[in-house]
Amino acid sequence: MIQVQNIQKNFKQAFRTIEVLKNISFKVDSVKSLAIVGPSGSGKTTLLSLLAGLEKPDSGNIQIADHNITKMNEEELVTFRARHIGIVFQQYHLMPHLTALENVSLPLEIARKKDYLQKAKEQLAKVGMDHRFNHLPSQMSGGECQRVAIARASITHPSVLLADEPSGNLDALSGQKAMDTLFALAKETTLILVTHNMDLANRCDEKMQISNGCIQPF
Amino acid sequence: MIFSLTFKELKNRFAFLFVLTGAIGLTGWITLDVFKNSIDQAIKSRSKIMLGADLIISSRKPIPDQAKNTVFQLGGPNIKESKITQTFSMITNSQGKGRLVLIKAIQENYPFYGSLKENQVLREKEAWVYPEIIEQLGYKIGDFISVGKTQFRISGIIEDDPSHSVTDNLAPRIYIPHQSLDDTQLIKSAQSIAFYSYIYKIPGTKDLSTLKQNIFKQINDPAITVNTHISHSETLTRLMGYLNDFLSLCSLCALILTCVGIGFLFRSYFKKKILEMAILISLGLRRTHTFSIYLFQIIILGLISFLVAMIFSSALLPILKIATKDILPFEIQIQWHTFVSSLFAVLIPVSITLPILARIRKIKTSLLLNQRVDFKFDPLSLVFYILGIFILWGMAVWQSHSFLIGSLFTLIFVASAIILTGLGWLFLRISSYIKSSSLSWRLALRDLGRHPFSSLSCFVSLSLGILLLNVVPQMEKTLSDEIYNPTQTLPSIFLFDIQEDQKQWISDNLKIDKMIPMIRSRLTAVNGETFHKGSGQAEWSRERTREMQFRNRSFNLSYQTQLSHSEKVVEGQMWSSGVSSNIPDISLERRFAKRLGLKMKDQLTFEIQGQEVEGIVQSIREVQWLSFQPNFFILFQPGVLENFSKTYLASLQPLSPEEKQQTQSILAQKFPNVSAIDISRLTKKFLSLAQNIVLALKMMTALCLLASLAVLYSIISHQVHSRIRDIGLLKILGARFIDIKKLFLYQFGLIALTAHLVGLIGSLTASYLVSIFLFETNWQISIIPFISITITWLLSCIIIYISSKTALNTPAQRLLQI
Repeated sequence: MIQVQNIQKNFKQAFRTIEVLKNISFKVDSVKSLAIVGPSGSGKTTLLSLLAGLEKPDSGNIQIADHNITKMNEEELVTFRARHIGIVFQQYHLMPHLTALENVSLPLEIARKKDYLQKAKEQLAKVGMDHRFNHLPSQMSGGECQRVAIARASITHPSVLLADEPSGNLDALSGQKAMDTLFALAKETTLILVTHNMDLANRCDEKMQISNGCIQPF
Repeated sequence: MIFSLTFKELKNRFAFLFVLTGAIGLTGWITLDVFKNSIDQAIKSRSKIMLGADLIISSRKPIPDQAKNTVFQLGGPNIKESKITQTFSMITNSQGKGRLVLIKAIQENYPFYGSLKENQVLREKEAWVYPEIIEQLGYKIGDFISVGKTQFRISGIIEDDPSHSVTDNLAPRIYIPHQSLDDTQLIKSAQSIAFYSYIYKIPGTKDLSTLKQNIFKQINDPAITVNTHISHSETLTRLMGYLNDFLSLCSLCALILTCVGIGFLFRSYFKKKILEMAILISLGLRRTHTFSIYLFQIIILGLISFLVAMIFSSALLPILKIATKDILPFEIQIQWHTFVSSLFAVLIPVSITLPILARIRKIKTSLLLNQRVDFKFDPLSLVFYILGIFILWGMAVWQSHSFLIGSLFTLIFVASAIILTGLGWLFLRISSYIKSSSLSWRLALRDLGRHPFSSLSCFVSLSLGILLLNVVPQMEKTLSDEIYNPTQTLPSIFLFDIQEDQKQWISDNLKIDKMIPMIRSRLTAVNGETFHKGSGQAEWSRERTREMQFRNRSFNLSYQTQLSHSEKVVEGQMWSSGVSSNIPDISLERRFAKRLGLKMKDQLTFEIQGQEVEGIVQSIREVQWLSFQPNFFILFQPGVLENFSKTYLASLQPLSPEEKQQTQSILAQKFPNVSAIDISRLTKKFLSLAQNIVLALKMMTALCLLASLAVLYSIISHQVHSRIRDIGLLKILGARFIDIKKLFLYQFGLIALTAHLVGLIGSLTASYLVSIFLFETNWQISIIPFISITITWLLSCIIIYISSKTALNTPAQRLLQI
């Protein structure tokens, strides 16, 4: 279960402070999916960063799998993420110098799992990328990169999968394929999805709207 | 618009590191150039004082009026002349004790620079004498001393004769007024051994070297030599020349290091900016304008670096001037034109960026869609590289005042860069084949191979930096050993003109350090062809001028069975063929052989006392001349020269003042023909100068090392910074801190270690080449480069560790945004 309590996040810009998230609280049960929607600049991605432990809130608590991640230091966060969290970015963030297979196998390699290459091949096959094992990100299309990123995020079977506009950079068909893959792999995982796409949001168990840093009634 | 885009881009980390690297490099350049100019000034003023004039013409026969007129005609109006005549004479006191002395007859206006006796004039029938004459013959001020047929009243003792140098005749001197010379009747006929000179003070800023050549050409008499104050004081010029050449080397190293640092930084910056350049081009900005934006940035950053360097130097130099006032053999003279000239030095770091900038021509806007950066070979880049090398070569020649040194330096640098690039590729190829079960090693080695250009550029920049950084202390060691080796024992007295029948007694009764025979000769032929002397004409380089001056000398030969501690064989074997061989062996001193163009197995013919003697060069020796031991350029194997009439030259071991006094009186009584010259005063004076020069070398080395460290810091920290996004991604993927730290430490530590080792080998090779071909000294290995690479490598690892640690403690999201 994910429990978010009274989260507040501000950013300082030049001589002013921008309040991005204002006292946000919500819960997501295990093996459920949640879509966070809202206009650009509303704080969706910031909320996702806080859930992933990529940023720290100014106040409030985030409880994931009985761990309060706001109290963790950077090193503890890294260990926690390795065990519990997978992230899919809008910009894919694949390692540019690694092939598709190496990108997907990297989390297993880091976790010192055996047969990491074999498992990565199987994972890539699941997302329909078994013909692109040895291609670099620069040699693949956006949709293909996103499918590789999804394969990488889910290969360690995290308890929480976070996706930030996963189809934002893709055409309708590629986006559809990538999202099918994502939902297929996230069946036994808590999925939190940030999106503008209402069709995609409707595929989730729950929806939440953010506007001006606050949760708004849907 | 171009200007506004130029300035908008300048507030970044690259600009800071560019200015830091450029400013420190240029500060080093300016400081070293100021030192170099100060040494030039010191050489000029010291050599003027040593000669007492700007120019001298001299001969062993009376100099004709025509020659003097030539000097007046070419030297311009207001030229001043003074006549000097020197001869040897035996001086005997009332008790019959005698000494061979050098009589130096001078005119009232001698010297034009410096002084023999402050505020005193040498009047008719008065003499100024060296302290040895007073001590050994028991004279005092006011006594009369017989010189030839007349008596002179001793009116002064010359404690410090600025004209007395290491290479001069070491006999004690008596100065007498020239108008009294005829009365002595020492020079009665053409057979008398005498040296005639005229010295000149040339007003204005005439080029004395050209004037010397013109006078020599017009006089057209090989018996008359013409020298400027610089060419006259060979030893001083050589010593200070070492320091001067070393400073040229240091300042060039500092400048090249700056180029390496800036080249590396700009390459990384350019890579980062390619996308932005593609955007500008896709928006319709012409490629030439895009080129201009980044060229303006570089020029502006170059100028900012120059201004910062001006501020640094203006603060640093006055402090250095005060701090080094009593320890350097010259005074630092801050000349502001050096600052202006350093503006030209900015050209080199700017030019190093041009080949990279030229790639703008090849940027494809399609990379905006497919993110693929694909550069093909561009001939313009090659043109810019060649242009950069030409500018570097021009600066090197200008800085070193030598075509040879400048060209050698440029050649070594370019060859090193090419070789290091090749070695870098090899290193990356090898690393891609290494397999490891350790996660950090596996990722580190994979990353190295997957970022080939970045890794190679870091490797080449670091190894070049290390090479340049270590050439300086390596050369410092070689030169310091050449100039001054404190472990050697210095002789206290030299004995000249020891006759055959006196040799045994002297060996048995005095503390002889070394005794060696001496036979005068003339080299007449090399391999059967007549040996040509130098023309004295202007030569295309100072190295060639030195060689030509050298060829005009006649040579003393000697023979000995074994080497002394101040010499060693560097090529061939001493006396390999045995005495029974038809043609005897000859051993030559290395520099002597090089200057005369003589090599191993050459057959030399000498004329000795009317007879021709032949020999084959079977060995080349390295001689440490500054050991003050009697040594010779040419040695014959024993058994060849023994039957020629000869004298012996001996050096005595260090003696106490009482022992010296006793030895000199014994010799004066028993062998009055033997000249015993106390050289302690001279060696002390020389060693003090040598120690100061060594200190100056060490100071410059430290300055150069400091500048180099700043450049190395820029390279390493920038390289780690360029991979900061990877740290963010690894953190997101759950890599442990320790694994990330190890990964970066292994990856960059390995590049740094290999670059350090390759750079060290390169620096040893380069310093060997520079020692042999440039400084013509015996190469000495120094421990400093080994210590320095250990320190710099550890520092590199610390920088890598700190940079990666800082990144690890930064939230991952922020790292992804960098």
